[in-house]
Amino acid sequence: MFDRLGSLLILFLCVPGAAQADAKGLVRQLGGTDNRVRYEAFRTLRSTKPPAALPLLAAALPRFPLHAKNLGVSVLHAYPREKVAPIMLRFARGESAFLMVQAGVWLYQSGNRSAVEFVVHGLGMTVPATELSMNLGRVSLLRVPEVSTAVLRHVHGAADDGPLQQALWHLLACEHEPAIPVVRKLLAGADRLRPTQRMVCAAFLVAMGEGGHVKMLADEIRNSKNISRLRQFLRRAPDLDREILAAILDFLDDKSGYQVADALRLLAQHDYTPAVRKMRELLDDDDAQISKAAFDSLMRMGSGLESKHLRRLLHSSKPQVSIAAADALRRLDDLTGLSRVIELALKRGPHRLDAVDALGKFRSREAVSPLIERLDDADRNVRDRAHHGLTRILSGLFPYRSLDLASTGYRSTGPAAARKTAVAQIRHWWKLQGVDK
Amino acid sequence: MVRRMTLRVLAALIALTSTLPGQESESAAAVTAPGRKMTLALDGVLGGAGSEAPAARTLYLLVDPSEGLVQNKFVVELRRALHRNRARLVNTTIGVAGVGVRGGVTLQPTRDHTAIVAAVAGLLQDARDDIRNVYASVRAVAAAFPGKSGDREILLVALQNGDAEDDVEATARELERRDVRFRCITSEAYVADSYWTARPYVRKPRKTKLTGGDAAFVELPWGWIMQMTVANEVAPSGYAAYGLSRLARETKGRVHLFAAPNSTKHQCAIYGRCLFCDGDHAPSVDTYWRSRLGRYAPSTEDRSTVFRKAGADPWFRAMLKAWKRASGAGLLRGTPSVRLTGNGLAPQRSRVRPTFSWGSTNFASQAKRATKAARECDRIFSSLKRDLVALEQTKGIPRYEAMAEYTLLMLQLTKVNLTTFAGWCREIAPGLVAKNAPTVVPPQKAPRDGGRRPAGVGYTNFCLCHGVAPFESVDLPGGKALRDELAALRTLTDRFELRYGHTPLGVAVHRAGIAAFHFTYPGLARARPRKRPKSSTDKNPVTQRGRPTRPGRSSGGTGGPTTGK
Repeated sequence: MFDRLGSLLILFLCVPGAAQADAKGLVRQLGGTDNRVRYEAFRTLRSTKPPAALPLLAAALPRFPLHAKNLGVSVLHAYPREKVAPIMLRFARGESAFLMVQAGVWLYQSGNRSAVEFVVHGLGMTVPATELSMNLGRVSLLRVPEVSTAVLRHVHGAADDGPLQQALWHLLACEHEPAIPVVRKLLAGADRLRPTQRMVCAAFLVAMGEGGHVKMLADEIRNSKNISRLRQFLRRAPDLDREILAAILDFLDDKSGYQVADALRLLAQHDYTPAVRKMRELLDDDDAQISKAAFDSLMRMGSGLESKHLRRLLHSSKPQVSIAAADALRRLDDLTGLSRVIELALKRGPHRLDAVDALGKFRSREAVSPLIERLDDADRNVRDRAHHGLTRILSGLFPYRSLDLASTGYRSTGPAAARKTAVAQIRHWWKLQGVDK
Repeated sequence: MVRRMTLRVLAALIALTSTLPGQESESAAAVTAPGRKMTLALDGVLGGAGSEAPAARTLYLLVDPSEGLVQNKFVVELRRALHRNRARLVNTTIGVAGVGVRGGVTLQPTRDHTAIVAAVAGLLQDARDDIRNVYASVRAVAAAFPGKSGDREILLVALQNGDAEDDVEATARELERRDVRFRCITSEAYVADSYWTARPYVRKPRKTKLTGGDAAFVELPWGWIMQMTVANEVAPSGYAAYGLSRLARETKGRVHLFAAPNSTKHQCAIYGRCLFCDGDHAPSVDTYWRSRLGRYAPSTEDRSTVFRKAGADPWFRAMLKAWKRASGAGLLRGTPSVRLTGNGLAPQRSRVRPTFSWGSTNFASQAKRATKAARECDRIFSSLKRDLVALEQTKGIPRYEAMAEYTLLMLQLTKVNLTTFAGWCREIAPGLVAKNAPTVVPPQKAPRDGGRRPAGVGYTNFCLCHGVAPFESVDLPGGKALRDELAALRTLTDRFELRYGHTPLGVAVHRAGIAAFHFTYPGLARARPRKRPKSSTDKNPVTQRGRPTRPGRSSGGTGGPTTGK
């Protein structure tokens, strides 16, 4: 008895010391140079939030390298506001521009409106381009005129690509009208600008509704290798000129991966019908990312994929495309894809998860039996989807009954034997309903 | 296969006949511009139709400062539009006036675009969703035009309030007398909107009447029992409020509709629940077809002419007869807003009447009453059907023909709901309150009522957005009687869809629903709150003022189909 009490006492006395040591170690690792170790420390600190780490972070963060500083600030965000507020105030009054901006934004969003001064001061300090880019990114959604004015100072011909893009994005998000003449003036001397600068500036003006730089933007897009940097600008544009959309379509020719996916999304957003043919070709692309983007784009465009095209895709050699087509048809109240989805849900393969997921949306009696079978699938994710889908279907088919699969003892994560018994019980109940009628 | 082919041929024929010229020159279709974008509307007004600058003209921007304009960044749109159209505006002077603003005109006509934008921004600083009399402001601004040379135009920017009328005809006369063309940017009205008729107690500006809707009067029977919403009150009509379309017609002006980009997302059920999807439904019939929309467009003639023509229309007369009988039988809340006279129609006060009551928990008696009501509904349905069959070869106003068929469908739906209710009272409700709950096999669970006694019966709706067919596999109370009624409803709905899909009435059918019943329980007793809290809290009572938020409005925050993009 006394032995046990003694050990508990020792444990009780040791825990704070051990926690202190742990926290110290984690904070040291966070400030280290090994990326993997640093990220592991970040995850542990953010999820466990040890109180002992707070003063250590407050003392060490200003000396950390930039990326560690960024992770450290994210860790602080996880702590209760009242404990972090004094630390943020200290950072805002400190010497690090990065911490000044981060803390200023945090304080402003916590209700301290005068903290804008820190943000403005931090943005005015001379720092390397990477740091400036991060600072501008942090204020991107802070809609305060003083901040926008400070951001506008970074829009000039000597600006690096990253900060310029971040600055213009902020100004667009805030619809900061005074930026328009500044950017227009910058583009007046376009020869002195790099192509990426010209492209982002022209995209900014187009997104702000200015029609004067359409041709310049179209030319830059055709010559560019990367359209992703423009995506956020062009997505916000109220109407894109057809010349720009034609340039985006031309851009697709020799590109791959996410560049193509991003371009397709832009074309679909602006309902550019001349792109439909190209999108249909890309449905069969070997890159799953591209074929999926082509499918989604065509679906988004009213005239892109009609029922007859979708029905043809049900027999595609790619199961994912068949499933997506069946799901799209279901959304149009056409259930012709149901049998194909059932077939794929019963067939082994990596597509089964998606097939079961799609099956659960059909709200049809025919989908119930295959889903009951998948409740006992070897893959836990498939079981989860089957459980979710079946619950959804049954609540629709029997709106006046209270149904709960757990009442049979079913748990998708439970032991296999119990699961089998529960599934047998569900199957029996389903037979009693005069099923599949 | 053959049936499908026949249906296709029939659909093609109907689409073809829909494009034939009908009564469109007299209807709202003639004055409503296509599209729903603010850029399109502003370019249409500021830039004019041609590529060259219009001759000398004076344009007054009459802005009704509502929150919708602020949310949709009207000032930014205006600034951009002025910049885009600057070359075409060289001969145009623009003044600014505000609806409900003392003195009306806030900026005399000028070519200074910065001043124009600033004046509009100033007006919108105090934006509120109040009900205002836009027609009085139109008359005041018409009188304020300086000089007599050049074209004169008023652009009323009022996303709402076209339904608060004082005197539309006097306004039209004033505009004509001063040779002013009327244009407006507004949001879609609802089809034959009965919203204000059902709420006569709402406060409105002096001498105004809240009419509502795209038409000169409330043409459709409204307030069907066991419907959570009046379907036509949440079905955008594709046209502006009657008064605005009327002014545009009389002055050879134009109505531009605006819908916020986020407001066109499909939503199966405005109230109630969709049994067949999680909100990812993408029905093609949500998009209005311009040709069909034009065919069923409301008239923009003066009210007395509209009354005369409606009174002479056999389809409308048949519908009105069924409306009177149904409201007399308690199947409808609203009585007709017009009565037949020797000269056509005369307006009368539409009343909210008590309807079939389902509150009691005496289920045997409730089932009997529901069956009796269903029989009465069937009699009215059969009578209307006979009338419509007899009229098949008679040419009437297409809008009223569609409305009569819609009424027939709603009568059938009411029959379905009454049959479901009778079935529920017989098959389900007694088991829910029985002392010994019936044994059930898992995964079914015994119904629980928490030991409380039900106080009554409530209902919700399963929307018809996916059609009637999927309901045939749903386990609903009512047995064979219900299955027969559902089959009849399916036939009617399929036929209706074929003829009136892609129109507001097609959408209205989707937004109606099959009722599902449940118990209601008395509220739990709680300590009453202090009459006067010591300090102010956010739980203080708030007095409702201004215009209520209505769901399904295309220019508001939630769903609503629109034509064009």
